[in-house]
Amino acid sequence: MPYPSWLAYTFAALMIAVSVYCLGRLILARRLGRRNHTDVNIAHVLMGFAMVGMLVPDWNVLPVGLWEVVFAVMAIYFLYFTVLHVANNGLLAAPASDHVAHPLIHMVMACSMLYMYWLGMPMSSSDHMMGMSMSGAPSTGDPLLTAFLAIVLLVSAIRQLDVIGRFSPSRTGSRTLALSTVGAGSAPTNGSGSATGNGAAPMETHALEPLLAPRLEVACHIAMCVTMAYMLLLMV
Amino acid sequence: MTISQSEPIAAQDPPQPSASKAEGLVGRPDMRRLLQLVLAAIWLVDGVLQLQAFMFTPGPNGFSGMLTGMAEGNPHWVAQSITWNSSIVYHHPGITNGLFALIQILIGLGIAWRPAVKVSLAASVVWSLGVWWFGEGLGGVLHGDGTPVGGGPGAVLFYALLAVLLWPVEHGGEHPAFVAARAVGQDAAKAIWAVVWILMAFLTMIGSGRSPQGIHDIVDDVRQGEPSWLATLDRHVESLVSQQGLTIAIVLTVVFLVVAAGVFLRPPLARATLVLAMVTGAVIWVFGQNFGMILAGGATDPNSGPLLILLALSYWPVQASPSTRTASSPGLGASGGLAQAV
Repeated sequence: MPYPSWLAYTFAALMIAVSVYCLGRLILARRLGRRNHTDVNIAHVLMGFAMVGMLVPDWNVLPVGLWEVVFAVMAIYFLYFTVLHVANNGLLAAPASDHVAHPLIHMVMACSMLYMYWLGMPMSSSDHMMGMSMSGAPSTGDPLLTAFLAIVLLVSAIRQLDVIGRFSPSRTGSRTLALSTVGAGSAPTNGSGSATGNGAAPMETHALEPLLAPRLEVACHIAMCVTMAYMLLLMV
Repeated sequence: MTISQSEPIAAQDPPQPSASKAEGLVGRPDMRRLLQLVLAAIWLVDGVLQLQAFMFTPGPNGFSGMLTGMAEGNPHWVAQSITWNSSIVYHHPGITNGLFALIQILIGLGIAWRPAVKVSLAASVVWSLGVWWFGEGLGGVLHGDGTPVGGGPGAVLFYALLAVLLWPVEHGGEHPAFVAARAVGQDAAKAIWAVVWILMAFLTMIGSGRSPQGIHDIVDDVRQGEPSWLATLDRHVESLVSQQGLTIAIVLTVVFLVVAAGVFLRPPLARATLVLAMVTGAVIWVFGQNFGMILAGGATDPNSGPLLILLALSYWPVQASPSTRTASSPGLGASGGLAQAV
């Protein structure tokens, strides 16, 4: 079936932007000594670049086998933290449901990546994305599982967008929730929103600090979920 | 790397007065917000489905061909407008289909994003009516193909209806009996419910849906391209309903009329009829619509089954606890600050 290449390139460009941003976020957070969701951002960088390679095979940077190892490790990592949290707090421990949902959804995302690779993604260079739903290449897998994974990802995107306002400075009245301002380690924040890391002096506000806003991280997650769901639904 | 690094920052910080307003956002959303989010998720699914390769295929085997098919059987002036629209899609499948998908994705994301709830719900009503006309051929209502088993009177109409019933205003008085009453008032909400289900009962009893092979043919149509387990299930259903169209139509009509009366009954009976409505919606969705044919590829939406369930949930009797109502400001939902934004 004909497929517009511009769509594949659009999603690929979006994923490049997300990956580059998350990579920059990791570097910036480390340089400024700000706490950051390191595991989440690493996952976003890896998944973003992997999806770019799926969307535009010529831009694939690693062999498929290596990507499979990467996402298998990632899935196990997030599974471990899911189990750990449930073991410590119980599945329904309020208000910890988000804490369970966070590693759980990233585990689902890692499994979705593995699933797509196992079904024969990416296409050969000549087929590109335009042939994704052609019969036989890649395999369609189990439509029920494929649709289920896609819907879980879209529901996660919706859920994250719903709660994105909790990081808004205007809503919280404090920059504490709006910015990743806690220093490395677990030092508490002070009232002004700045924070100390490991007992060091209060940090200066950096001009680039807004780039570490959790809202941007959530936005990356939403973009990633929608893109991945789109790729999955193409395989139904 | 520690577990603390992977946990939401907001929850790790010590409680602060300034952060208390955000708690409503972190906690569980109230029932209306939850239903809005389900609606948002369905819109998002629709938008992403619109990006399938099939939709960009020109000609009779693509999306424009599907649209052209909707003109069949409709009055001339309706058919002409549908054909006009499909010809535009035929000549510009990339741009039009990309635009359709973008609009639906934005509606879904907009409903989920609190500052844009109202504008997105309003847009969803307009878009739904447009899709009902140009994309669903008025749900087949005008030529007797609007049986609810097949998705009549048009799945997309339920999107519009839910947008109205989940509109974030408080017209339900001090203690609205159910979510839908909060937007339009209790009496109006009950009237809407009754009209919808009586209409569905009517559509069940007219046209092709009541013919001996009517339901059989619907199941046979949706079986094409389904996974083997579902196709096998469909074949069993087909053999069961063969030549039983009129009997099934009568049973469904009675069920719909009972459901229509349900919201006027006392809460225990109302709950029973709402469960009946949800079960009916689920049965129709699985056996009559095959999950909107999503598993077969080429679906544009999950069809009316999930919307019927969502509609029933918006009428589920709720009990407002005095403490909750006290904690919320007038005009707010059960979660206080949360409802303020939605």
